[in-house]
Amino acid sequence: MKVFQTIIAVVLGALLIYAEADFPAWASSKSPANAGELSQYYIKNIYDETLVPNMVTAVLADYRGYDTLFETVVVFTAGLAIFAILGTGVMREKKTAVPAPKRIYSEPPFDLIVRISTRMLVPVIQLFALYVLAHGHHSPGGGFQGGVILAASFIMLELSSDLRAEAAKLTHRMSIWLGIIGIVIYAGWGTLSLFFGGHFLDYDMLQALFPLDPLMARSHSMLIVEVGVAFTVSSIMLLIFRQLVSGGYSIPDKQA
Amino acid sequence: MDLQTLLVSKLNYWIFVILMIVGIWAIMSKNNLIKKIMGLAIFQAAVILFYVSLASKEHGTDIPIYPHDLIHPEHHGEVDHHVEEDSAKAHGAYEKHETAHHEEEHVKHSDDHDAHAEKDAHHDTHGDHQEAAHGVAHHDAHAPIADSINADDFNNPLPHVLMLTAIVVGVATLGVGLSLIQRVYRIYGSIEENEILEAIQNASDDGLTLQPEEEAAAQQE
Repeated sequence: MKVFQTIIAVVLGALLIYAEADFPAWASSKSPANAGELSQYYIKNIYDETLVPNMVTAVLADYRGYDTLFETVVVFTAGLAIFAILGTGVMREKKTAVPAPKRIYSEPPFDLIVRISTRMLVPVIQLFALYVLAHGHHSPGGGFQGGVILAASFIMLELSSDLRAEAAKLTHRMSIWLGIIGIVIYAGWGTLSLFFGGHFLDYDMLQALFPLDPLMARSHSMLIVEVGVAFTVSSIMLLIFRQLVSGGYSIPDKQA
Repeated sequence: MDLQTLLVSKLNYWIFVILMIVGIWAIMSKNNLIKKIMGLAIFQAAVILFYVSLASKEHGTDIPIYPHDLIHPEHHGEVDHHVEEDSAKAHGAYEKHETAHHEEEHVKHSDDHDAHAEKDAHHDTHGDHQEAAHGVAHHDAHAPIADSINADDFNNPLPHVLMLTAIVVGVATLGVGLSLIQRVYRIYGSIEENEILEAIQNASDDGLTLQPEEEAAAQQE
């Protein structure tokens, strides 16, 4: 029993609970977070400024566009870092305490029922992912959520069958490229508005491409940007899963 | 402040504090690196819960989305019916019914502009674009809705946005942490902290090395 650490944790918890008395009550609309000028502005003006009913999507893809762009880059960088840390399947360490496994999930102990039902479920999950992605403007959803659901469908497939055989269909190289494509879609769309005389990620200026209205240009630009996010998030989540579950030995046999 | 108020009106903070302390305790006192990382994940979940709970308002919607009635008032069943009946009749009827008047404007607008709107705006005659163009017409015809919105009726969108990205980035960085542990395990054969420290101290005896491969090879020669 770690007495010292437990005491520290309990004292910290007691202090925080003591401080609770000064916190605003739960669900109070007068709390600093809710009564703040910024959130009030968002709630009042988002529909007039962007024509997007879902405030979260509008703030994510438009008002905080820079933040979301670099969050996407962080996800991509994390994928690359995992790739660099665990290696690409061909191990360089000569002396390791744990020898490289001969096979990863190559034996077929998989249940037939699980495999077949997964195969039936996967298209439905992918369709739902696309729905969540495309309907992010009008209902809860968007690039991050749709991308993660899409990745989950592939992960299900790989959990229920041979990891390496599945990895041969959508290779690691492809995953990295899809991640890059996602970031290029996002950053490229932001850069495009520079050519029409706006600022970076200033979607109003793209009305020349959508001959409708500056507001509709904003609304559609958000969808395009979310598609970029979905590309990166889905491919990198799949990559992270593969690398972690196999300890870096997930590269398909024919490439190794 | 009595205990009941502290418990009931601040329940979200209680859960947040308990989860956070569990996480911190795991980070500090666990010997197993995976358990440490899981403590970090619990800590992160506590912070996310804290932020999201801050966003809620007593009379707010569950999710910060404008209801359909607010942004498309002409789609109300009664008003629609009224317009259908009166659309060909005298203008007096529209003066009485403000919303119906707006609807008429909207209809006229789309009638007038449909011809060349088809040409210059509707390259793509997809249903979504049609609806979008109508939305624009509607938007032009109506006053902005900002003044008719009470901010207390909607949950705060900002914490939701911050946590939405934080969750995904948190998963990605958690993956980096787990991959580092896997690498440690590959080299030292253990994920227990004390065993790893022992292995580092005995590194030269066991033939295990922390040096890069080339240097190690050079030393052996």
